Amino acid sequence: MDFNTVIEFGKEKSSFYLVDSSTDGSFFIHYILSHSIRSNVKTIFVTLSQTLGHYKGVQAKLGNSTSLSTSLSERSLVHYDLLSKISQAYVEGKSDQIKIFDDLVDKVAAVVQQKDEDFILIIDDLCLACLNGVSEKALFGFLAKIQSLSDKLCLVVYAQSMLATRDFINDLIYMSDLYFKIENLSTGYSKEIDGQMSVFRMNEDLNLRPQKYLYKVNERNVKLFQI
Amino acid sequence: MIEDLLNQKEASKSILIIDSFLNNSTNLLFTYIKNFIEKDNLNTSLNLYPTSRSSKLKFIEFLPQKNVIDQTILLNIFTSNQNVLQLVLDQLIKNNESKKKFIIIIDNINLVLRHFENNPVFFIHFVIECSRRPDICQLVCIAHEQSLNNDVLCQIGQIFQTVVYINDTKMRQDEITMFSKLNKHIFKFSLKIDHRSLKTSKILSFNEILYIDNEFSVQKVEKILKKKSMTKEDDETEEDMLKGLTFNVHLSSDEMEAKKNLVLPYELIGQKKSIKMENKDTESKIFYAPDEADDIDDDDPDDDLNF
Repeated sequence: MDFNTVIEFGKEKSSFYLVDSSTDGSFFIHYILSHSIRSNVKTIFVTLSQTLGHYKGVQAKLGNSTSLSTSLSERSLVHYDLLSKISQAYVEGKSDQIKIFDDLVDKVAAVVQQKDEDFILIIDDLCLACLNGVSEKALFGFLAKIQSLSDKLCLVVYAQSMLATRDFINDLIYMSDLYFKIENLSTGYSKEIDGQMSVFRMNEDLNLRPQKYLYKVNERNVKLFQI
Repeated sequence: MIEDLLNQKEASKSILIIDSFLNNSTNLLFTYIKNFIEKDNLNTSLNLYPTSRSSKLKFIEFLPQKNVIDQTILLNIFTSNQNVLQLVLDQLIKNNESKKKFIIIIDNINLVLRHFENNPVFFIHFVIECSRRPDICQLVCIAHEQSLNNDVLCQIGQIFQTVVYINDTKMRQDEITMFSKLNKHIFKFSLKIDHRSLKTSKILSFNEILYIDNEFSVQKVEKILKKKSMTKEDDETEEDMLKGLTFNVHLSSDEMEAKKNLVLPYELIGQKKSIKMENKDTESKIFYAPDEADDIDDDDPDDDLNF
């Protein structure tokens, strides 16, 4: 089955998606970005792991090149390079880590105030902030501030769990509504399958048993096989 | 015990529920809240303190009356350096004109401890303060063991009057069959409860299995009694160890008897008895065939030694 039949992004009630990846789970971010461009939802794309050029290249392969450029020019897609901001703050010797995110929070607040509609904030990859010396408390403070701005905000956080402590990831899981765990196959490498994805619906499913899928990333789409 | 705690019949001043990712305590908490609401307490107010937006939305969906949800912790956690727990206490005094009593529920103390940079001192002070105050009749906190240091968890557990550990929530096939006629979704909690009696200061332990339906009503409570004989447990563990071996370590009955009858030499030291050897007619002889290089004579070979 296709990725978008399993996760109907526009129909989900969740407000905090957490993608915990111990392998290359970037296909998820490209899928979300592609969805937000096609559905014309106001999106703020915060990057730490790759340059904007990389995402443009991937979207070009997916056939969204023109749409991405149009979205950027029309400001329905706003890009924010958080990695440069963090490095700049350290070069300038700013010790208050929470203030690193003030500029981003102000930009998000400005977007929220413009229109009373749903919008998405995508962060790729939050654990790189930890690797660059930002404290976990500052990151939680940033997430709390962002979430308090609007109930119509949908937060999508991608985290490569091997770059952060397990406690940090576990606390993020308890803050999330929809938790995706992407990992390699436990049995080893396969030509047909790239990995395994488990979906936990944190607030809907009272019994909390995950839906498990095997996935294969193709050139233009992602195929899922339920197990 | 768990039923008394859920119905507030057991007057425990502070309850800590320790769960894990797969053994979640949400349904247990909802059952507690539902029982409280059904009792229609006029003089006691329930105050829910969500620590994240996700838990706030979870409570809003569950509760018809949203005025029990207090956002004091949610609005101040991580975003300011204030003591969010002190804010909770100050606000309770400020808003208590009718001199009501309170039940405080904090859904995720992991995030609260993170706010204090994993220093449990402020939280411990808060729990002790709540236990002392007559206007706070009960404090209920949820802790997730996976992102808490074991030492911190032990430290915190010691100051609560009751600690409930959720060990398992998986239903066995016979349990599913037992409740199949009810046509309801059943949740199972295998619990260990440590309750400190204030009169005797003794800690009483209870092992119970609780079954709750999807309407958050208690269906059944089973009490598990501890096994008395220690030797039986030892035998069972020894048998388990010997099961997978590819060689025989057991003794047959003849071998066991021979082992029992064996008298070891040191046992006869100091006794007049001695081990009697069997007398045989034939004597053993040593036959020596000398080589060419051997010097055979009758002299004592040790004559040249000076001692």
